[in-house]
Amino acid sequence: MYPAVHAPPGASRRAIDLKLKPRWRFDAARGLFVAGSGRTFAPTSLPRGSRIVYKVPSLAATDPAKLSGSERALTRYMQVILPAGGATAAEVTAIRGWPCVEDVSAPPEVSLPARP
Amino acid sequence: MAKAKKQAGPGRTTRAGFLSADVAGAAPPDYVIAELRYESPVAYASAGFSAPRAARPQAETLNNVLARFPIAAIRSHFGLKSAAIRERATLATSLPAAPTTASVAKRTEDVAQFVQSGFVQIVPKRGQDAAKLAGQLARTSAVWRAYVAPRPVPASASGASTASRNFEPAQGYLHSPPDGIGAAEVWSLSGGRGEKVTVCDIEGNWNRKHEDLPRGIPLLGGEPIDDLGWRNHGTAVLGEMVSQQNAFGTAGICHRAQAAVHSAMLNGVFNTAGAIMGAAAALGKGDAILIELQAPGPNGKYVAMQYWADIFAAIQTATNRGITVVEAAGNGDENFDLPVFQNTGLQKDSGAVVVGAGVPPTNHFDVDNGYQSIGVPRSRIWFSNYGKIVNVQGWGWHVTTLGYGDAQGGPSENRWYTLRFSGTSSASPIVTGAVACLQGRSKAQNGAPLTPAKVRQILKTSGTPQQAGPGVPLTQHIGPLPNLPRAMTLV
Repeated sequence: MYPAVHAPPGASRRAIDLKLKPRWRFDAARGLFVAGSGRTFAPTSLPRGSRIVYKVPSLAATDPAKLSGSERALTRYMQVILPAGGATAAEVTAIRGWPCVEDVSAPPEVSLPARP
Repeated sequence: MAKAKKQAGPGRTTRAGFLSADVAGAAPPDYVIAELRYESPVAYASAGFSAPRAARPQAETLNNVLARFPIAAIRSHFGLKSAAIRERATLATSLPAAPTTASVAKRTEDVAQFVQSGFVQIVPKRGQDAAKLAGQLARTSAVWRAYVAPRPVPASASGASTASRNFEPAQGYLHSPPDGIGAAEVWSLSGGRGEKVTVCDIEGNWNRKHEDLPRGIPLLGGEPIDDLGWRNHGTAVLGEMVSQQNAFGTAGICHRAQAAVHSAMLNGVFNTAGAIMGAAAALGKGDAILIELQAPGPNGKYVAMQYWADIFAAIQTATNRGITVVEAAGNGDENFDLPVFQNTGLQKDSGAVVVGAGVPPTNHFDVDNGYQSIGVPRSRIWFSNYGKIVNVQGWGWHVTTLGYGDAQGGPSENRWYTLRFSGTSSASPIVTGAVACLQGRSKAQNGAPLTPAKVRQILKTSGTPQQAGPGVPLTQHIGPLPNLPRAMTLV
């Protein structure tokens, strides 16, 4: 395969990508996922120091009625940023069990499309 | 005991390039480089210029200029022998009125020698005559341009203040179609240099202090990745688009456009969708975003970033806001039309202009191992991804731009240049530059930018077609190379 320019070791923290089910949102102030029905879910299975963030926070904070279809789609994507450590397999399995989550995956291993 | 640190001094090759030995003794004299027009059948020797009967007035005009100054030497700038100079004159007589490198290539296999043989080094006995001599030679019909050669720069740790070399002649992608995209041809049009357009590069780092970049390129968001490889890459990408047109370095395709950058690293992790939306928030209709990233897909080969649904949605959103998104297809030698990609972003239209890597026509300036072709011009380079969603191609091999230091190294990254930037990485800024030129022209001519869909349609319909090559049939689709002179007629 043609070589690529990868991020240097340690440049990126460990992370997991997730997609929310429709009508769920994350209340960062309370650290809870909230469904349209009012049901809540508190994620408790993550290691200490983990953070849950929207991929595009500005859209998540906007009234959904004012968003286009692709913008609304974007509001469902989040990242769980994990503290330094080993593999993420255990956390992926745990997050798959959350009731608010439609899909969970490792983030793409980003590189630059050129020779080093 | 502390280990003695190895010093990188003159005469050594470092990651920054070769550090030349100090120049001792008397300063070298100023001299003039005259570049003969391709079609001028003029030969030269130490005694002056000569030409066949029909072109004798051209040679006489040149000799009349020389007669006004005491001349120490006249010789080939590339040290070619007299036979090569005579061959040049013979070939020149057979060229059409406005020859290109393509018309030269039809008549000789050694285009590089023909091009180099047109560079004449003229050394006046008095250094102070050089500028005047260059000016008078430049006004003759046989000479395309003439200038005082930059003084050699000792690239030592003590630094040097003399100017960098001019690499614009090596930027074949600026040249007229079918070889290049014809950027230099459209610069005379109002808006044709990308005026009033902003291009934002999304990747990881840049040397925004490079001497040939405009001052004050803003980092719109994200955290730069502290790594020389990433910094060189971003610098090379910016150089293709917005390096300044001046007496040194390179000239960007859309060198009057505004540039901006956004790192794909947010909160310490890659978040390309977030970066696209961050850039889009700072841009407006008619501007452009360039995504210079790739990642392994389901087959373990690198694919375009729109494979991932969140990134696909971010591109759609930016495009819907009137921002043209240009995206590197990636270097995975991957076929996006395979069943494994059904219902993914690689078989849907995000609105982006997806760019493959095409073979450039020649590498006149790569003289390491002599000129070697890597394929049929504008055919797919073996590593480029391909498929229906790949819309257009750019040069994917040996693009001359900023950074890396193989063309000009030295202790300061701010003066590094390369002749070898490659991949869909080098192809995509060529297309982004073309987009900015089109949008600048549209704003100047029509008072409004084109929609991203219209930009893409123009690039596809006006471009110089992809060609097939051995092992790379046209079914491996990467699309045409932009043809800006033709595209401008559709704005």
